[in-house]
Amino acid sequence: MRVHSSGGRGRLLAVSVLAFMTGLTVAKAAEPALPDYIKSQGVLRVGVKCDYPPSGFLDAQGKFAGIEVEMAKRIAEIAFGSPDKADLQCVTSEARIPALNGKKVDVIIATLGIYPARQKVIDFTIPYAWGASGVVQLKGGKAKSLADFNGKTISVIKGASQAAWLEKNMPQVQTLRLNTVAEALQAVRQGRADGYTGDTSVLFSILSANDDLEILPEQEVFDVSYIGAGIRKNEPEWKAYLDAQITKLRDEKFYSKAVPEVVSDPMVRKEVIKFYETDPPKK
Amino acid sequence: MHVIFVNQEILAQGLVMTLALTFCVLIAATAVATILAAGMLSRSALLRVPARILVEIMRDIPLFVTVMMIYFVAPTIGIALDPFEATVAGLGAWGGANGAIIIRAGIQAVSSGQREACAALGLHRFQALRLVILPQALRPILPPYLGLVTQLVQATSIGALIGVRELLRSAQIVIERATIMEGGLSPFTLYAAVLVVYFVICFALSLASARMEAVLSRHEQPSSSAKPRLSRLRLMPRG
Amino acid sequence: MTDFFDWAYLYDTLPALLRGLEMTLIVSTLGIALSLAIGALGATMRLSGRKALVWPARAYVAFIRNTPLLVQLFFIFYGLPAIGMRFSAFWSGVICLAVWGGAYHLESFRAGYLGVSAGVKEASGALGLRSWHYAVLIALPIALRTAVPSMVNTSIAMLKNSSYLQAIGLAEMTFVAIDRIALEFRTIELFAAICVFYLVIVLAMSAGAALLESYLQRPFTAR
Repeated sequence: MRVHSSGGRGRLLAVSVLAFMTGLTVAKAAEPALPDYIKSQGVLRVGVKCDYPPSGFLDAQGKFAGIEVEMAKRIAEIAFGSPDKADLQCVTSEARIPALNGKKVDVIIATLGIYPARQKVIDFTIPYAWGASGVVQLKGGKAKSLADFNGKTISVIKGASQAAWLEKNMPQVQTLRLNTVAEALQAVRQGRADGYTGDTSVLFSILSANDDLEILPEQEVFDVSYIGAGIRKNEPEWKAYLDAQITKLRDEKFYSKAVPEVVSDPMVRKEVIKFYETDPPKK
Repeated sequence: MHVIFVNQEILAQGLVMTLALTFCVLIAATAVATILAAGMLSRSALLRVPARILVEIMRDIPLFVTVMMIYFVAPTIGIALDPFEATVAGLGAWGGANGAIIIRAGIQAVSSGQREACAALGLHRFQALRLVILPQALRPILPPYLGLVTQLVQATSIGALIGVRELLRSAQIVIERATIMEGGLSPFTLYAAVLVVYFVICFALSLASARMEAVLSRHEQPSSSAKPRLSRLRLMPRG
Repeated sequence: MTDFFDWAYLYDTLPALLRGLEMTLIVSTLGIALSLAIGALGATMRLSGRKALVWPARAYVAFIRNTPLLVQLFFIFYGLPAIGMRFSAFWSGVICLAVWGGAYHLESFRAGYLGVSAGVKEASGALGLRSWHYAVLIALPIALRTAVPSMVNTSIAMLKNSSYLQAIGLAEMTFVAIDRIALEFRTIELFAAICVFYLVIVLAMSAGAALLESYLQRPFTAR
C-alpha cells in the first residue's frame, strides 16, 4: 500500500518494521556520541511544523508547541543539557527537504513519512511513529467506504503522501490540493470537496474539535507509513546519535507524558499516543 | 473580534515581522536599483546590455515565482537561504529592477543642457552627477519610489507562502490551530482584519507619495505633451 | 538527483506543465476581459460627478491598490463563504484577478478621458453634439489611445499575478511546478521551464501591444 516503486516497497517496509522493533528491544548499547560539528554549534537546529497541531504549531503567544516540538526540546536537553538549546524553525510541507539540504536545519522532525522518493534525496532516522491516512466527511455524508469517493473530490494538503497515494491507487478520485488543513476542511464544509484525507493523528484532533465531521470506519484506513526524522545524506554519526535518542524517548515513555501536555481530549490522547508507542496494524 | 483579541500576541509578532521584512527588502531593493540604474546608464554596452536584460527578466517573471525559485533552487547550488532571506532576495531583485527604471527615468528627466553646462564649467562626470543632476533628479524619483515602497509592503505577503511568520502567515496559523484544536472560526474576520492592517499602512504611504508629488512639482510648468506612449509603459512597476 | 539538469524528466513533465499553461491562459484571459468591463464601468461612475457614484469608485480603487492581492485572494476564497458568497477555485481566481485589475484599468480609463484636451469638448459643443455623443463618439476613442499602454501593463501584471492562484489550489502553471517539486524535488528543471513560458507570454503580449499602439497612432502620424 505504498506510493512509489513497488519493488523496493516491501523490502523497505520490512526494514522499517525491523528497525522499529529493534528500536523497542535493543536499548542501551554503547551510547553514540554527538557529532563534533553539531556540538560546536552549541544548539540543535530543528525544522518543525508551525501549522500542524498536535504535531507542531504555534500557540496564541506565538510560541512553538506540539508533540514533535517537545521531542526536539527533549533531544536538545539530552544533547546540550537544556531544552532551550533547541533552535526551532518553521518549515512548510514543500520546504521541509530544501531547508534540510540547504543546511538551515540539521534535522527535520515534521511529520515526514518515510518514502522511497524522499530516500533518494535525504536519509531518515529509525521511525519514531507510524501514521495512517483516513478520510473525514460531513456528518450524514453518503460515503461508507473509500471506494464511494470514486468520481468525487477529496481535499488534501499539497505535497502530502495522500495526494500521491490517491493519484496512483484511485485515479478516479479528484484531488483538491490546498496549503493547510483549515483550507482543506473549509473546502469540505463549503461543498468544494466531498471529503478530506489526512494523517489519522490529525483527524482525531479534528474530530474532537469539530462536531460536524465524521471519519470513515477504521478498516477504511489506508497508506500506512512510518514517520521518521529527516537528515542530510551521508551523515552516519548524526543518524546513529538520533536513532539512539529516538529509542531512548520510546523507552522512557516520553510520549505518554508529552502528548497530554498538548492534547486535552482523553480519547484523542489515547489514539495519538498509540502512533508513537505501539506498532502499526498488521495488514 | 474576539478571535483577534485572544491571538493579539501572535498577530502582533506577525505585523512586526512584516515591517522588518519591508525594511530589509527596501534596503536590498535600493541597493540593487542603484547598481542596475548605473548599469543601464553606463556608456559601455558591456554593462548596459546585461543590466537591461536583467531588469527585463526580473520584471517579466511573476514575483511569486522568483521568490519560490530563489528559495528552492539556491540550496541546490550551495547557497542556503531561510524563508526570510529568500523573500528579501526575491523582492529585493524585483523591487530593484523596478526601482532602477524609476531612477534612470529621473536622471534622464534632467535636461541635457544641465549636463552640458556642467561640462562647460569643467565638472567631472561624477561631480556633475552628485552636485547637479542627482539633486534635481530626486524630484521625479521620490514620489514613484514611495509608490514602489507601497508595492513592496504588499509583496512581503508572499513570504507567507514559503513560511515567513509575517502577518498573513500568522493569521493562517491561527486559523489552522483553531480549526484543528478548537472547532474552527470564521476566516472572514481574520482575513478582513489583515486586509485592514495592510490598507492602513499602504494608504498612508500612498497619501504621502501623492502629497510629495504635489509639493515637489509645485514650481514646474504643466507639461506640454501629456500623451503617454508605450515607452512610458516601462516606467510602471509590474506586479 | 543525479544530473544537474535532466532533459528527459523535463520532457516527461511537459504535458502536465502545458495543461497548467492552458489554465493560466484561460483564467488570465477571462480575468482581463472582466477587469476591462469593471474598469470601464468604474471610470464612468468616477467621472459622473455624482457623489453617490464617485465615492464608491474612489474607495474601491484605494482599497484594491493598497492591499496585497494575495490577501484579497484568501479573503475571496476562504472569507466570503462565511457571508454566503461561495465560488469555486477557478471563479475565485477569475474574480480576484478581475477586481484587482479593474481598479487599475479604471484609473487608466479616467486618465485617458481627462487627457482629452478641453478644446475638443468646446469644438463638439460648437458643433451641437450632445454631451453623451461627445463622451462616446469623440472622447472615448481618443481616451482609449492614451489609456492603452497602461492597460496593457495592467493586463501583463494580471497574467503574472495568476501565479498567486496556486495558493487556492487552482492547477495553473505555477501550481503544477510546485506540486511536482513537493513530490519529486526536481527544482531546476521545473523552474527553468515555467520561467521560459512566462517570459515568452509576457514578451509576446508586449510585442502585441506595440503593434496595437502603432495601429492606434496611425491617424496621428504624418504621412
